[in-house]
Amino acid sequence: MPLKALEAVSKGQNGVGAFILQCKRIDVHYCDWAGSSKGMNTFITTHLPTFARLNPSIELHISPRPTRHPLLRGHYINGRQKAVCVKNLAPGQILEKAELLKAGSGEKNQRINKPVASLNGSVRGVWSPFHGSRYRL
Amino acid sequence: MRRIPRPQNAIDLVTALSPRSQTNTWLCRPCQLRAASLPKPLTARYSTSTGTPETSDSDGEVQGPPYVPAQTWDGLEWFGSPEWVAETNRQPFKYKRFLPKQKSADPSTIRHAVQRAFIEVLTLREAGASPDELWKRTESAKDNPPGEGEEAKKWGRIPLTDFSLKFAVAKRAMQLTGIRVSDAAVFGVHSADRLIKLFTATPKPKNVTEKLEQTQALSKLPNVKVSPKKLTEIDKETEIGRWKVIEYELLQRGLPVTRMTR
Repeated sequence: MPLKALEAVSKGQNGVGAFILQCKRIDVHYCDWAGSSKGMNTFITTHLPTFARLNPSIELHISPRPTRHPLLRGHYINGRQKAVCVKNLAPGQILEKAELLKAGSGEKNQRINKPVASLNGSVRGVWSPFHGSRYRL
Repeated sequence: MRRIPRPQNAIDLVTALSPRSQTNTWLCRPCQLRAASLPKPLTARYSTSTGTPETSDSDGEVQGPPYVPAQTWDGLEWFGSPEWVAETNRQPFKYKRFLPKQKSADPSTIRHAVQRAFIEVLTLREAGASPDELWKRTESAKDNPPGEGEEAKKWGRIPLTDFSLKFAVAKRAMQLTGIRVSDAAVFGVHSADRLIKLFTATPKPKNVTEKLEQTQALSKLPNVKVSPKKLTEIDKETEIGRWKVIEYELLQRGLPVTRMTR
């Protein structure tokens, strides 16, 4: 008897039953010397502990990047990265950028023209001869 | 067109009257004037001697040999060379630290040191009993920690309004503890307990990493990793366990592993 794979009964969709955050890691880069990192250095000491406590599924790596502008780089589970330069921003503005990276899916930015977007082409689904009302000739 | 005559500068007239102006033509005029007022030319020590004996003027001023600028460095006096040290029988210079290498970290040790500095300075002022004797007396009360009880209150009441006393105590305390305190900070201190607080205060963090270490805000969180230095490509590869594979393959091919080995 040949080996036969199990047929998929249902397709998993994020948010149905459980939600997995797409952002898995955020790199926080700063500079001790440069003035453009002033807000970032304050953000690390004041806002970041709370952000890290509220988001335990996101790994946070803090490391200096001397003589460079401060940066937030989000790593996503689809393998993509998204980097945001936060030079000369206030700590509150940097927190907004961190929330943006956290909420992102990791996909490229797309223009949405239609009012409704769905993975399925039609709400009626694929026609099946075994379902629905029975036709008799 | 008639040429307008240029008036002669006063300095030119003075220079013409100066007796050494002809010999020191390579000097600027203010320097020539200054050299003329001195008993001996300033440039004499830089010139090579011609060997002729010095003659005395009718005014009693000693006239040296005519100045000849040195063309080479032969015959000039040298300073600071090992030969010069050997000739002059000088002791080789030994650097003496003002502050000890090790800084005291324990607050009770620092407090003891500042108190000791007080006692030493005051004893020297009195010039009566020796500082060691007084210190031994205070050390006998080691069982009572100086930070607590009535003793600490007594220390706090000592006024520090005398600038010379404050400076002497701060300097001696710096030597005993190895902690450097700025003059501006010492200037604002007016009592002994404030001085002790100044020495026991935690130093200001130099960078973000030190600040995070001091506050301990992120150290307890399991999802946060802080690195004090810039992360390199090797660090990133090591983190995911790929660097040892890369390093092995580079060595197998005889290629440089890092830039330094190139």
